[in-house]
Amino acid sequence: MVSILFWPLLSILVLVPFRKQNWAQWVNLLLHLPWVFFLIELIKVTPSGAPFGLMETYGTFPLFKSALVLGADTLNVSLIALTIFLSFSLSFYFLGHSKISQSFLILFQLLNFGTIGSLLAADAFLFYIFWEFMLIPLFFLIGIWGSENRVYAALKFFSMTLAGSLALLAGIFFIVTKTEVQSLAWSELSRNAEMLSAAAPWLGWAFLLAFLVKVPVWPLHTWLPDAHTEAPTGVSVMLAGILLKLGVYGMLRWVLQVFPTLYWNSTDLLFAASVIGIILGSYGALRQTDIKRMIAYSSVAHLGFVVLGAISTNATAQSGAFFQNFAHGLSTGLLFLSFGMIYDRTHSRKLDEYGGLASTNRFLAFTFVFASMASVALPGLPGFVGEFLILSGTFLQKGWWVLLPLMGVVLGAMYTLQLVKGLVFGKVSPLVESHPISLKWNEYVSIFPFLVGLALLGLAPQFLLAWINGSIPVK
Amino acid sequence: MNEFFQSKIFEITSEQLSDLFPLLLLSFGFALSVIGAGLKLSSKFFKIIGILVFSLAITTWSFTFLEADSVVLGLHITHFSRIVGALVSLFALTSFVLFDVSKRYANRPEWLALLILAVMGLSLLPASHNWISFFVFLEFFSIPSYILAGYDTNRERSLEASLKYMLTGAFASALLLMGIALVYLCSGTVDYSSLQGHFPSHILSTLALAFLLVGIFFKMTIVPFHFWAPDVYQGAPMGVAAFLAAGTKLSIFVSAALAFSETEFYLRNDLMNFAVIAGTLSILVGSLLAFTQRSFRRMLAYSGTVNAGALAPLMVLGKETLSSGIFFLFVYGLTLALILSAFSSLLKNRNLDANGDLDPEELNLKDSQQSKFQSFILAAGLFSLAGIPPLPGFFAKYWLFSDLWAQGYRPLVMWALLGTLMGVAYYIRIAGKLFFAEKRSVII
Repeated sequence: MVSILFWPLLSILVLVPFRKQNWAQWVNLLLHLPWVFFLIELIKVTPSGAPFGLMETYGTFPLFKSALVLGADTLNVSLIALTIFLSFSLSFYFLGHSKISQSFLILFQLLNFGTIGSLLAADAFLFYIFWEFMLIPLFFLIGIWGSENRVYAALKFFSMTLAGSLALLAGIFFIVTKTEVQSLAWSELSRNAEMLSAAAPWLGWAFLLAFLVKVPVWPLHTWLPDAHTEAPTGVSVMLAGILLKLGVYGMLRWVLQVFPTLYWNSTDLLFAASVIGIILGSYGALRQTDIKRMIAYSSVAHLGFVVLGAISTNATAQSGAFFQNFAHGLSTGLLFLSFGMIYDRTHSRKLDEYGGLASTNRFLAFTFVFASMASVALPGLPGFVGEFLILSGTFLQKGWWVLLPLMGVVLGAMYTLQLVKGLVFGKVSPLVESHPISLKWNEYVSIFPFLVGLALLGLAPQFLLAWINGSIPVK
Repeated sequence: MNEFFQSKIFEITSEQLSDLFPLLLLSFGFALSVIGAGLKLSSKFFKIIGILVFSLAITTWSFTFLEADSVVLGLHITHFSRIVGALVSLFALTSFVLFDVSKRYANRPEWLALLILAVMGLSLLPASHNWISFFVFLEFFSIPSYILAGYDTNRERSLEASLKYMLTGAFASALLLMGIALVYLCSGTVDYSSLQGHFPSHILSTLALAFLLVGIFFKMTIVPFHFWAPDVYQGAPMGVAAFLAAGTKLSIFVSAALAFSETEFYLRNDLMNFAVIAGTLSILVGSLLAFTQRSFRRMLAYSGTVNAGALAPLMVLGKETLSSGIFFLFVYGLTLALILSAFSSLLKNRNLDANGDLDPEELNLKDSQQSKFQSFILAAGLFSLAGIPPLPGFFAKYWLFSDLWAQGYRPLVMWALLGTLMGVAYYIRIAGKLFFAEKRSVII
């Protein structure tokens, strides 16, 4: 576990002497190979079932009542796999890209370090450090390499997520100073779950708030459209692909497993918020003229579904939520990536300037349609599996209330088809005509794993579902 | 007369001598630098003397750190006073290694003597055991620091800073002295240990505490006695500003906390209320004003007010919670020195005066391209001041806030966390300015 966590840091050290862009890009690609190897080794030893089945302690900091404890179970290892998968695919996309410099790659690896650290951390203090640490590289990645409005987006993203995190920090202060808990380790906290809830009812809310901003759940989602739109392609993919998932992961790990009473008490509120998120997110997506903004709003809606499943007391919906969480990383990641390739050539994000991509580049058009269909929940693709499980689980629990989120599915089809129609089909627009797109080999390579992954997940979801089964405690 | 010299004060054992050693060392350094200035020796001499004296002082203070407390010549040498001595010398050393003062003031080398005097005053202050010596040591470091603030005689701002600092400082000292007089009036003594339990609680004693706090808050730049700070931090030479901001705050913080705990003033509610109100106000006013500043160094001064605001309640909590405050100021001092030195060389690369100032809005991508390393340090320092992990500032804040929380200052910690959020507006935004291009130049 330690090797998989610190590999990104080591990669940075290796990257430092490679000033030249091409060199840095290639070295970055090669550095992913041992990482994938470590991942496979980790997957082999990860036990299925109990939360944090595998836990290792590497050192303690008694002053902060904290320790360097890393834990692994299928819940977080699957997300680590997703992180490494996305980063590896992107490292192909980065090859030969004129804007991807050495410093970009270093910040990118720092981001990976923060992400994997917060996934593995089995100690609240350690988790908080990694959780906040992610903001620093993201702030610079968005602010330096983003598009027109990037400074605004970076600051808004930074301050909103920091506000959530500070609530989490206040919760940690309370646990350290006012309760009898011996340490901030996850095992200690979850053992004392009842005592913590009794000590302060707001404590769980403080934790929850940090994650709700990150997911993001309506009405805390406003940073997301800006950040996703302004971020460079690689960062958009990581944002949509893994960072939003961390919010859901945090809810499942640090709220559900530490404050179960509060978690189950807040489900009505979260149900309302996620349904509003689904409908408003879809409606927002429908009204956009900017393609990346459209995809960003669609993320709000899709994450609404994930939260809907995650708060369900029903095992079906819970595993559906996690499956959807995973699948959304791939489908939206692919949407951002394939659109990023188009944007690299045309430098426009306006939907009405596009049209007829299908007749200029079939492969890219196919990819885009494939990814859209995956996210719109076409049977045979993973989005369908996830949403079906979530909605059927919700139906069992909430009855006909399920019609509300179901409306979101229809709205989702509407905006996605509108996007596909405007971008891929129709008459060839002057913009598309004047910027012929021919993909390079490395771009094909970076798209290919997404296509395979989505097809596998859609056709054979049972493998992932069986593997993650049991790591989420159900009421 | 003979009896006076035979009295107990002048009996010094060898252990006590080891406690005095760093002070003797500083005095020796002071004498050498005065003689050197008289002989008009070259700047190298002062550089060597300074580095030697301060690093030896740091070493001796840290080596004796674990020894038992002792009383020598009326000074109460405790591990608190030792650590303050070591840290203040460290701040002096950094301020002079990082800011290249010896070359800049080559023909006026008295600055070293003044700096050593200030360090001596600051390290003696926590060893005081009655209010009179507290006042004397406070003046001991104040007077050299007034002069040091105005050492850039060719810049008007520096002279203005010195004058403002002196006038307001003298006024605050007078009020502090008034407080001491009232303490004497109430209880007939100014000695810390005899004040224990002999301090009545009526309006006059509250007034006495209020006056004492004015003098202390003034040096700590706590609202509403912070007005001098922006002018001085902006005008004083860069190294002096870094030294004053951290060294003064550290020494005053520790000595005031020790004084309040030795005299058992800290058990009084009125003292605590004053501190909490001033702390809360400091966080609010400091954050708001830091955000609106059009000068980088004034911004840092106000951010110092915010930080001092969080320290104010800790000052009246007794000895147990002092460590987190000391660690906080240690991190703050080093971070501030790094930030200011990076900023100073950034100014130099722009062909501006290295002791000058800049509107933070003017910082841009060119600076970071021109001086990569400095901008990196500057940004890292700002993130650290803002308290974003894994930078050291976070751990300092974490320890401080959790101590405050444990003592029951929950609303204040919440307030301070909101202040941290405000920090995005003035720390993080400026860190961003260095690296983000004004106009769209990068397309991905």
